This record gives sequence, C-alpha cells and structure tokens, in this order.
Amino acid sequence: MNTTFKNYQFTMLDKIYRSEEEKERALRLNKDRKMAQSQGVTVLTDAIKACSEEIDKYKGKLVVKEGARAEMYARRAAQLLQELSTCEEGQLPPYNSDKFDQVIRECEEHSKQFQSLIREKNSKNLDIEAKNEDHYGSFIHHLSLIRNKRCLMAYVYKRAEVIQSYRWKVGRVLPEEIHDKLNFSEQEYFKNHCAVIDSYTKDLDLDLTVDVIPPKDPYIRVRVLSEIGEVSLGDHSVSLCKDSLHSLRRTDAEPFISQGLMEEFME
Amino acid sequence: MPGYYDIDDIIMEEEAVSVVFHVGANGVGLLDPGSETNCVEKGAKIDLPFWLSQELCRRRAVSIIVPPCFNQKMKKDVQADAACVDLGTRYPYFYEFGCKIFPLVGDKSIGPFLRHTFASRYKEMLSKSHTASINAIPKFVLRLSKEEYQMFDAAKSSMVEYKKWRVSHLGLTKSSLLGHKRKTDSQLSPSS
Amino acid sequence: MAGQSDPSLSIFSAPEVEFLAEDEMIEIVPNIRMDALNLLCGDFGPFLPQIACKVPLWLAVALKKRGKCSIRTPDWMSVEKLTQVLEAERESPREFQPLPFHYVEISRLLLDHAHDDIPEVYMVRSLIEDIRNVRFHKVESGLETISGRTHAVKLKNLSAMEVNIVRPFMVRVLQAFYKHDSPEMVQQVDTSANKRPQVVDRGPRPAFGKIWYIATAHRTP
Repeated sequence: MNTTFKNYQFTMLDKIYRSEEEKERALRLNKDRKMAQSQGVTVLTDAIKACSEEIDKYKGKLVVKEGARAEMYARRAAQLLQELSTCEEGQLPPYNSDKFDQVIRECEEHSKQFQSLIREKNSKNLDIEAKNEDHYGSFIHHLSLIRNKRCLMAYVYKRAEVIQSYRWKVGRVLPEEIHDKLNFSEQEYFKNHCAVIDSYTKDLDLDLTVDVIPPKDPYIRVRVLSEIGEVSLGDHSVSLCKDSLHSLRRTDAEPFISQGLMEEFME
Repeated sequence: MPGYYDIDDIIMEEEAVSVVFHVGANGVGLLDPGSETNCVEKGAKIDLPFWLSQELCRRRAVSIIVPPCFNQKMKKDVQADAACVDLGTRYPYFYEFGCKIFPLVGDKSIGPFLRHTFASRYKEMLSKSHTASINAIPKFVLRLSKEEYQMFDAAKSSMVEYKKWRVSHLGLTKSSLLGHKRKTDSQLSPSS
Repeated sequence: MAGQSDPSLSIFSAPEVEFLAEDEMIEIVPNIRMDALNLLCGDFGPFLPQIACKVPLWLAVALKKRGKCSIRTPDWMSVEKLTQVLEAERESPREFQPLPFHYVEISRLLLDHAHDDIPEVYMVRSLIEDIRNVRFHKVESGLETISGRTHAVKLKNLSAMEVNIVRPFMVRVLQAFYKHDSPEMVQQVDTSANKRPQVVDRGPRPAFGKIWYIATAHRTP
C-alpha cells in the first residue's frame, strides 16, 4: 500500500508540470487571444500599453507595492488545509487544483529568491559562517518552501486517506458526486487501492468489506428501493424489482444496502 | 506529538505572533508592511505566523512577544470564571499554541496557567457532555477550544450511540456518504 | 474488529460490544431432540427435551427465535438480586457492585428475545435501567476527581458497556492532563510530587479480571 501511495505522490508531482488541463488551458488562452486580435479589439491592448508607460515613467521614484493580493508566505497553502478541515469528517471538498498550482508557483518564487540571495551573499566574499541580511532573507525563503511543502503533502495525504476509506464505506464504484471531487490521479489511486484490497481478499478467500456490523443472522429480509434487475448470487439468480421483498444472504445484500439500492426490511 | 501530516497542527501554526527582529533580512519585504525597501530592518516589530517565528526564534534572529491570550488580563478572566472564557471564537488552539509558545518566550507561568485553565473548564464539559441532547447544540459549546470540543464530542457521540443501541436494532444502513444533504443551519465547528 | 465510529481511537461500537457478549454461556431448556453441535467454539448438546444445558448466548437466542427452547434467566437477573444490587449501589457512592461483565448487553438481549421466560419482566427491566443510571452517575462523579498527575484510573467492577461509553472522553482527558502536567510544562519545583507514589507503568494495560485501566498513551519526548 505504501508503494501505491508513493506512486500516487509521484503522479501528483508529474501532474503539476504536465497535466492535460494545463495544456488545454494554454491552448484555450492562445485561441482567445487570436480571436481578440482577429476581431480587431485593440482598444484594450492600447490601454494596457498606456498604463505600463505610465508606470515606467515613475519607476524608481515610486515603490510599487503589491496590493491586497500579496499574501503572507505559505498562507494559500494553509487555506487549502482549511478547506479540508472545515469539511465534515470522512468527506472531501473538490480538489482545488487552482490553489494547488498557485502554491507550486509560490514555491518556485521562493526557490528563485533563495538562490539569488545566496549568490548575493557569496559575491560579498564573507566568512562561510557569517550571517548577514542575505543569510536571514534566504533562510526565511527556505522555511517558507518547507512550510509550503508540508501543507501540500498533508493535503494530498489527508485526501488519500479519505479516498481509501471510500472503498470500505461506499464500495468499488463511487457515485458521481464523490467521483467528481477527485482529480485524475486520485481517481487512479482509488482504482489501484481497490485492486490491492481485491487481490488481498482473493488471497484470504474472505470478503473483508462485508459484515461491518456484527451479523445476527446469515439471512436478512430486504426491500429493493430502485430497479436492479437480474442478479446472480452464488448458485442462483434473483430478479430484484423495485419494491419487491427478498430474503438474501446478508453478505450478498450488504453492498446493495450501502449503495442505497435496498434497505433492511423490519416487521 | 503531532505528526508531519497533522492538519490541526499545521493550521494552528498559522496563528500570528508579534516578534522583534534582532537581525536584518533582505528580500523579504513582504513580511513588513511598513517597510519602504524590500527588506526587514533590525529592530522591526511585526506579526509573523507561528511556524516562521518559531524557527527564527530558535536561531535567535527574533524574540517573540507573549501573545494576548496568555497576558495578565486573560489570566484574570480565567481566575474569575474559567468556564465563561470564550476560547472557541478567539483562540481555538489555545492549549496547543500555549504548549508550543511557552518554551520560546521564557514565561514559566504559562505551563501552570494552561493546566489550571483546563482543569477548571473540564468539569463543566464533563457534566454537560453526557446529558446533551442529540440535536440541540448548547451555547457553551461555542466557547470550547478545538481540543475541548473534540473531547466533548467524543463523550457526546458515545452516549448518543449507546442510547440508539438501547432502543433499536442497529441494522445495516446506506453509507452516510451518499445522498448527503448539506446542513444549512449552524454546522458546528469551533474553528470557524 | 476496529470500531467503526472512530478508527483513530479504535473504540468499539455498541453492536460490537454486544457481539462480544454473545459468547457468554447461558442455560437453556430445549423442547426438541437434537444431536450435539460441534462448533469452532466448542461442542454443545446433545439436546434433549426438558433437560437443561449450557450454550453460548448467541446460540440460545438463535434457538429461542425458532421456538426450540426456553432460556433460563440467570440468577443475578431476578428481582430480588437486582433490588439488593440497586440498594448497595445507592449506599456506596464510590464503589461498584460486582455484576456480570456484560450485564448491560445480556439483559438487553434477554429482554428483547426471551421476555416471556423472565419472571416479572417489567420490574426487571426498570431495575436494570435504574442500576445503570446510578452507576453511570458514579462514573461521572469519579471523572470529576481527575486532575493533574492522574496517569491511570482504576475502576473496579465496571462493565464492558460502561467502559466503552466513557473511554473516548476519558482517554482524551487523561492525555490532555498528562500533556499539561509533563515536566517540560511544569518547571516549578513541586515538593509534593516526590512524596506521592507514582504509577510506574504508564502504557495502556490490558484488563485483568474485572479491573479496567484506562491509561494515557505513552509519552513522546
């Protein structure tokens, strides 16, 4: 299971650089730009040009500060975790790939700043042990990188944990509303996790996912809630029509019940 | 000890603390809103998230000012009536934060203060948790810190489960994750 | 069988505790003739009409449901015994009377499935409910005395279900007290600490006999 998780992390990182989404977005942007140009919407570009000229004029005299948009280091990464934390236990918010990518970009920025400060420090030919302003600046960028990394790892890890639990609580097939909250790698991870459990179950010759509540009787009475149709159970097959009552082996009925397709019938 | 992936721990470390810089730092002007250059000057007093303050403090680059939740006023409030102090909305991570900040600020009274606060608040939590009804959320719950809330909730839900077991046959049910309707009314979360 | 409710604390759910209780032995009087059952958990029977024999509770309930036997109410479930226990519980505010470890679950199962075999069934039902309430109130007032330096709480004669209800809360509380009481947190010289006998083993302990220890987790330095 450990290796699956590692693989999952690798694919996550891979995704950050080469995801299909990213490509698609780039293509779309390109298309938009071409369309804008072809329609002759040059007013906007002129306005932008005027603005940047204006800014250039004052360059050096004015310190252009980043406005309210400038976030404290690693704040966005913590916001990602806030999303998870405010969600009910055992549930997931939709995968926030925008914010995830923003954090990655912030990391790249920290890395750049870190390297330039180190170069700056080295150029001053100081003692190797000396700690000047460049040293502390680079140290802060270094810490921010590590902090961001911890947040991203925790985000991925926590989600992976919840995704694993889905196999036990919902079953092999995820309903759409849950499925849509996972990104592509997470969906793959879920599939792989199911495969691991299946192969272990096969070796044991015992289905571990049934009987989550200690059984009282091997058979239970159930009422079918939505049309299921002909199902083969062991040596015979049953036709499970809506609203029909059946006496089934508990272990056979359990997956249907947890998916909400039938309910235990009690007199 | 909280683990590397502990989300509560990570969020707690986002808490802001005031620090005084003993050194200067280049290239990090963002930290100091009052800075004209892209640097933090020696002697500057600014608010930093705890995760950053902690590491800088360990390297003696900054010193941390005791946060308001451990000052004299707070101590007096707790002295007067510990159960009434609202930790939930103001300091959801009161204890965890206290445990972490206390070795860094050199205020030896914080440790006993935390213990005293917890010991005085715990009894009310205990008496209310087992009698709390299933649906209503008593007002005092909003005053609990995150850690206290988890204790309260643990006690409450085990009692609720027991009561359910007493009266009915707990059969198989549809997974709670399916067809889930979001609760629109006050979804309880002391951190929010 | 990890608890479903909160896997991180591995608590048992109530149905899981009930499942464990079903292994307790109980006397039945069959009304059928049947060969002995050779099961994994032991051999039971042969069953002869009107000849009492001992079987696990789950088997007793299964036979009862199919009308193949009547279940003999255990001695402790008589009105007389229960009245005595209730009085004793009320008189001693700190101690718990010895009752079967699974008395809550066994009585619930018998009241559900074999109420026609229990004499004065309504009386029995309300007595058991009263006893449980008195005992639980005692557990609560016991918990109120927890303070710093409590590393383990000894609760003699507490039953499985009672322990199960308080465990999640108690473990967390003890952990919190333990954390706030660690030497790193309390750097003041406290002379009384040395005189008091300390609990040596701080790890979680198994249950010996009917004494449960609900201990804090190990200290992590």
